[in-house]
Amino acid sequence: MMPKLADEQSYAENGIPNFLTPDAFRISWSEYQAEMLKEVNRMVSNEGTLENDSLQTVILKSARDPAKAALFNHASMAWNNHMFFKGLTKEPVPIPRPTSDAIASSFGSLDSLRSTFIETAAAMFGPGFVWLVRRRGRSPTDRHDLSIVSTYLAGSPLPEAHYRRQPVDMNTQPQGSGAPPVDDTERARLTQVQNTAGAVGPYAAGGNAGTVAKRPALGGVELIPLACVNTWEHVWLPDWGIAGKRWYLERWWELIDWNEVDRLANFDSTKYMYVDSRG
Amino acid sequence: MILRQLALRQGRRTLSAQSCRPWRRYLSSEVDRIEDSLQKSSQETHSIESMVNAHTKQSVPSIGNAIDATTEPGSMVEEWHLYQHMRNTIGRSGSDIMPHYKPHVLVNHPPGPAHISLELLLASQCHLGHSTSLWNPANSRYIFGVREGIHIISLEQTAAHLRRAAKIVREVCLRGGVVLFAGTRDGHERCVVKAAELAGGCHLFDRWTPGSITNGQQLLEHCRMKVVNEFDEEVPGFENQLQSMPVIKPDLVVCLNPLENFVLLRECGQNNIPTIGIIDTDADPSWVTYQIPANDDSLRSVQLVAGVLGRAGEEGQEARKKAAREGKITFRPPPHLEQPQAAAERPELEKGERVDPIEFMHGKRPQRADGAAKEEWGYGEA
Repeated sequence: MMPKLADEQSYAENGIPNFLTPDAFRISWSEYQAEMLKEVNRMVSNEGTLENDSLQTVILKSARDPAKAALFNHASMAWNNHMFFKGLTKEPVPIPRPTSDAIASSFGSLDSLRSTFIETAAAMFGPGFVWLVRRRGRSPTDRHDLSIVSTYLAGSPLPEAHYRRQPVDMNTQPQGSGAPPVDDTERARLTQVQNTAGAVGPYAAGGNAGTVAKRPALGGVELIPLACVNTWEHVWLPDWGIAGKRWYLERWWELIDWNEVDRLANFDSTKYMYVDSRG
Repeated sequence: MILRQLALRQGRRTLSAQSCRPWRRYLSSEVDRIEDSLQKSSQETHSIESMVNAHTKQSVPSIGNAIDATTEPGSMVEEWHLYQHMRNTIGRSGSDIMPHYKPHVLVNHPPGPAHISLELLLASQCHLGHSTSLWNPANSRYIFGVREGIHIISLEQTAAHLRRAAKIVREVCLRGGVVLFAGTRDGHERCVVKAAELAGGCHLFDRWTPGSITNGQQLLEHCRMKVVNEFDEEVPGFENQLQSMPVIKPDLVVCLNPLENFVLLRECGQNNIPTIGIIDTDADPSWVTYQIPANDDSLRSVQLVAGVLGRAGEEGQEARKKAAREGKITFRPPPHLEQPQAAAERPELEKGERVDPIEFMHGKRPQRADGAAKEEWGYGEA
């Protein structure tokens, strides 16, 4: 069933000011989202277990099953698209204090975050999403850890989706399509830490040393997606043209709903994500 | 070195446990219990490690580190709340799920009498009767028609009768009555227990032992009885009187499958206990006092009826407790129950002397050895 957007009526009639015309909004939301959900419903109707589950459950259950790749793609695309449109606001919103503190401690300044965000999105060759996420802090003093994550095509930033995050363009990877396959030992040699000399202390990577840093709490949350930009061409191409991707991104930056970001991130420092028990 | 670190770590944990924990306690006690048990097990691991290390040359690598990282005091509670927060905000993104049937919700959070609607009854398959050749013609007033060779029960009748039954259950519970929910088929257990829990009554999901009402004195004499006040608090001092009290009978019986519980319903009839039952098209409506014409073969239908009646009982209990808080008592105590002071003033029974409870109930009072008149004992005429 189609999810509701807060301002859907006005978006459909007037579009998003200086961002998407009503036609473009119709293409990228009304019709696209309906099409994605129709496909998901069709594919899910074959298996009774997922029929009434939330979209997030469908995504996580189909992420690591190659036979359900199409289901994952459509479900993840619907989820990402909704997150994108949910995070928009018609008029610029001032950044709440906790969020701006977090941005300052993670990126140094708001401009730095902006340029990182826009450059990452502009550099992606091909459709996808770029996310602002809040990660688990790497140390007790590291309370606000925001970072940028990019997902190609219909990749999902949720950690449980594992290798379906699709954070890199696989055509640029030696293990991607076209390259000859390697056996397991070779892959292990290429991907895992081989030499733990100098890896001292619980926070170092590799071997047994990184026990504290790596392990999450039982049932814990690793990552919270806060905001995203949809860089699929069908969204920006009708209004902004072939060469207009950067303009589109810069305009999107002004329309981020920071109140929503703050609400999702839950920055209250006495709760969640990290408890400083040694204090 | 290990021991020192151990003490330090535990000291910190103890200190911060006191500071961080209290305000979260009321929010999730189950998570705290899991956390406590994990903490205990990690402490045990540490003590074993330290014992082994004290005796061996090579030190055992500490495996407690990983557990420590995950069970910082308060961290699991925090993680759980964050998980819930994410589920409620981001977890619902992407699409709206249409309202649909969730079996566990029907049992654990049943709808109340206010939610009875024809759509709900239809979706719960309450209208499906039996084959037309198996019907009981006494049920013709409840039947809407025939389709696909089975009788269809009129849902307007079902709704009306269900509302009436709900009102009866509510009023009985309001007056402090004991309701027995009986459902002896497979799958009735959970909904029967839940309904009894909500209504503050009793449940039965195994075979009814014949004679539990008519021969209750024999079968149930070992069951404990207690006297409670209007706030449901036990009142001491009635032990002597309870010894000679007859066994409790239910004030109302709700039977989810009357066809298999004829003995129960007959005993209720013989003892003037009103009964409510789900009457299918092949059941005999005269077996119960208040019929609910509905499908007794579908688990969903039965769970709905049991849930609605359980909720009605819950409303009655709430109303009774509310009245008690305002000082209004909505029930009458048993006629032969006396205040403990009055009982104490009476001469005690002699050793070995026992009063027969049935005779006591019918007015026969213990006589003194010299056959003294009853008036001295303060009793009225039996």
